[in-house]
Amino acid sequence: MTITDVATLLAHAHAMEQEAAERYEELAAQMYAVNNSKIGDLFTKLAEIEAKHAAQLSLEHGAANLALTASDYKWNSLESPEAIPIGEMHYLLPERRAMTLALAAEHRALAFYERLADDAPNEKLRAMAAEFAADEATHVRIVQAWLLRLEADVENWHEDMDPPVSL
Amino acid sequence: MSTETACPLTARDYKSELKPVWCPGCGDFSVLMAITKALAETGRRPEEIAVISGIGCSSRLPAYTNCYGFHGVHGRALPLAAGLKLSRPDLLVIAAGGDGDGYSIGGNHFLHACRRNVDLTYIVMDNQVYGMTKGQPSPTTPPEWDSALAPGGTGLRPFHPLVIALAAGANFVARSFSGDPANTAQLVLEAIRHPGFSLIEILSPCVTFRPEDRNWAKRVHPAAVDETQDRARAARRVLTDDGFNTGILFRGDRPPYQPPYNPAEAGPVDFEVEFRP
Amino acid sequence: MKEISEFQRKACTIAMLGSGGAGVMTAAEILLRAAGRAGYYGLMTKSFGPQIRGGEAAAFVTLSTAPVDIQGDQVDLLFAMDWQNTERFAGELHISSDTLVISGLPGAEPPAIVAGHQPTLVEVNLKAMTRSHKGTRPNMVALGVVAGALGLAQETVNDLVNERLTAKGEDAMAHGTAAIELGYGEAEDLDFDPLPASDGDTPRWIISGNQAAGYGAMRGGVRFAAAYPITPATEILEWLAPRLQKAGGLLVQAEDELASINMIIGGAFGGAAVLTATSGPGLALMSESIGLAVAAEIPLLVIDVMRGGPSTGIPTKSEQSDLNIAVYGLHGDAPHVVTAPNSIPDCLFTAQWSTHLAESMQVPVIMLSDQSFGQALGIVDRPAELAFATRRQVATTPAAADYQRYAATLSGVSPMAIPGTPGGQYIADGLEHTETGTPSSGVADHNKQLEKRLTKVVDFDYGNHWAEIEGSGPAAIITWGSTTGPVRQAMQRIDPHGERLRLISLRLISPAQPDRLAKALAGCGRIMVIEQSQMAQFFGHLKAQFDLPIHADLYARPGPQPFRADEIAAKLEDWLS
Ligand SMILES: Cc1ncc(C[n+]2csc(CCOP(=O)(O)OP(=O)(O)O)c2C)c(N)n1
Ligand code: SF4
Ligand SMILES: [Mg+2]
Repeated sequence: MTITDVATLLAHAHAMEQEAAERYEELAAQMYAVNNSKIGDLFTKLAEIEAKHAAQLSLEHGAANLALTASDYKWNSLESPEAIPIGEMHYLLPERRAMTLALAAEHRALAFYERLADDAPNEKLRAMAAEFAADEATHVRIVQAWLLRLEADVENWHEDMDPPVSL
Repeated sequence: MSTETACPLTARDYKSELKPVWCPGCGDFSVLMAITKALAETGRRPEEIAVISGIGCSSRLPAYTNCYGFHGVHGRALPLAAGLKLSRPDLLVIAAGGDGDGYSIGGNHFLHACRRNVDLTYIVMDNQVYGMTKGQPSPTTPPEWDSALAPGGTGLRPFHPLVIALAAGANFVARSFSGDPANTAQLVLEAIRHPGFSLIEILSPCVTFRPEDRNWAKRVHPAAVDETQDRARAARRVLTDDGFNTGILFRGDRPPYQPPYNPAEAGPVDFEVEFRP
Repeated sequence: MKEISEFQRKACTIAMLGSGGAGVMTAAEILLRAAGRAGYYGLMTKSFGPQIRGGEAAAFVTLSTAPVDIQGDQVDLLFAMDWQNTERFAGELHISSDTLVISGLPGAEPPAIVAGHQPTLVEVNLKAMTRSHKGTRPNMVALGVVAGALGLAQETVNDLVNERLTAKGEDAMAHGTAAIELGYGEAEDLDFDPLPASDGDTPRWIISGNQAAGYGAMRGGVRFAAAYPITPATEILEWLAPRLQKAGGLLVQAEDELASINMIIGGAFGGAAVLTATSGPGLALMSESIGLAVAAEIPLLVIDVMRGGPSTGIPTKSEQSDLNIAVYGLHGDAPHVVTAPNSIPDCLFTAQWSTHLAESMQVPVIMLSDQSFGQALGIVDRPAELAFATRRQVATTPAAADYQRYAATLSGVSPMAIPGTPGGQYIADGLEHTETGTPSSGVADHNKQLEKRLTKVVDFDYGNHWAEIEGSGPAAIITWGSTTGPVRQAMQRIDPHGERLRLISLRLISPAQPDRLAKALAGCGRIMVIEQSQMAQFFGHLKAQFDLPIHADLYARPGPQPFRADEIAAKLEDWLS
């Protein structure tokens, strides 16, 4: 299944940024709850960036006024591609690993638009998808550059010498 | 029955201010998201909804919603929820909890809740383990899973909640996966809308005690066959599937148990006549 | 001037704080073990936030050359890996201007509950150190700092760290040693009095109350257990599961407490010495079937590791509030036994003794331990070997025609035929029955069996294990369970020679021993009862079942805060003056 009209594509583009922003907020809250404020702050920042993307989309293409229900989305994946799956979280998540997850999310977004740019049924859609793909490619490069500046995570970052708490 | 609202509510309106203390990555976060999304779609306001649970990590869920909630005792969410619904049929009542809470200590109530068929939606976050008490095997844990309390595994065949629900009379049976919140929300909504006792078994990994289950995302798949109204066929299907089949498996047509309340036409004094010698 | 007890003079209390997987529990436990190897006594307790992973955690370790059964009043040395949510520990973290506070996070402000007491504050840059020495862990550096400050041998600490890390390989062990080295280096600059010299490598045990209870029960002969996990009792089960397997026994995880209690009733009917362990909510579920065990005369041990109640309450904190349900919670006139340990090592003794009582009298015994013993680790003197002589009386050669399972003997105990014994077949029944076990609702049978079941429990000779009595002063303090430690410490402080005060700590809660208590109270003009229960359940029990003088005083308060010696000492000073 694919997207066949501009309104639907715009709705997807919007939802993608919106859900990415909401997911980062959610993940930040998870990190704060386990005293990992460093990654909490990082996710808060990423949430702000994604929210800006969503706002920018509205500015450039108008608000997505097509109300889609969950099953109308055609992500070809369990969740919207730019949202980091909750299952990837870990309470000791270190910075590089967190940014690697963010990069993977940008890559999924890019792949989503690239496929549309190839597959969409009309030229207008393909062009628009290509334009979005170019945006995502920029995001990918930004995150890649960000990653380069980061120190390697300590090995065995996920190891905790203490046992879990029983409640 | 629902109150009309000027501005439609969103999932956020059904979330409380309290931040969950679940382990980051826990499937229950996604289940909470799915439930609040589904509730927003019901058109019922938070104060018209009650979420009832027992004890366990998953059973902490009511506190994270903005609805009325009852965090009861371990294993007894279903009778409490049934009591509420029977006394207040106007409320939308949801019971939620874990596999230990629902199938182990609450196992008997589970059977009778299916059988009684009160109009409830029961959401089980099945992580195949007792998360809250530090990782003991639950009724759905694989037999060979090693743990401190069952060194070398329990050696016991896992409980099959969906088949048991079907056999006991549940009116709606579905399976979902926490990592698929959109479909989960859809299923929860369908379950709420379907009259009678609806069970949704949500595979919801415990990343702390069963980190191996992070790979469930790769194993789940939508049911290959459409939902059925035939109990026997549904049972055969879930008995022979791989346990990762998601979607609505059964939708029945048993009328829910809800004895009517008669308009009061007598009070205690009216019965005093019976005590005349 | 206030007298200082030997414990106070010699003890040192260390707190380690950290959040988000900082590893303070492991560091503190290694510290405790190192002190144990060096010949000190010790106690470690833990406190946590509500998260299963990544929450804020505090470990408290008290070390001394004298036996330790409670934490010191004040923290002498605090190592904070960070200050996140430290406020959570407000009621437990007692800082003074004498406290040396080491912050592992330079620049971070300690919270008011610490800074407000103007302690000496020193900073150690854990991050910088672990960064410059790849592979080292901050908690191990912190351990090195603390162990160094206390003057513990670095080699001992290294050995323990290595034992801990062997499974992770050579590299991990080398990093561990390096981290300890860094810590000891930092400790050199600290102005802190090391521990006084210990009496060397006296063989001691490191054991938790839950382990001790499991071990005691096994020593008592328990080989079959069934239970449902519940905090803070689960560690008894975790300790027993693999060990019972090795000892030719079995632990089964039941589907709930209704199942656990009935499983062990089945096991005991079959001849095994049995136990289950639970906490308040589970005990409540079991109560119907404990009644069955009373009626059918089934020996069994139920260990209730008490937590804050009612209901789910406070699972990770202690309270002495299950006394009523344990003593009075059964339906019908149901004589049974309730015991309570008074220290970590006494969990071993009392569990073994309780098994002996259950088997000897063919009766359910409820042992009331609590979270503060169960989940605390102590360095204790090696407990004495005990062997209680009496076992279950069994009918080995019953003759089918006249075997009476419930014969009303003089002692009330009647030989039990174990299934498999030819000629001993009988029906164990919760219905009232005749001496042979046939159901009967007759007046005479009911009276006879009630009498039998009461006699065996009341007339049993509990010896002097019924209570712990210390001191001979004219003012008596009656207490029980985990309140005993703080009371004992408080008494040592204000009455070091036991001339003014007398301690009576009941190990046998029920059946009541009024005559014994009266004797123990001989010459006492005043009595104070101290317990950790809002509704003063113990006091109520004493008043109802014992000849307590009408003017007995009471100090009762609920958990979750553990009693401290200075709190009780102040009460007692006030009371005595
Ligand atoms: C009567 C009683 N017994 C035992 C417990 C301890 N307990 C609390 S939660 C739990 C198991 C929870 O498992 P599950 O329902 O699967 O929830 P999860 O934590 O996995 O989400 C147990 C045994 C209790 N609270 N009450
Ligand atoms: S222990 Fe498991 S079930 Fe509980 S919150 Fe953590 S991940 Fe979730
Ligand atoms: Mg579970």
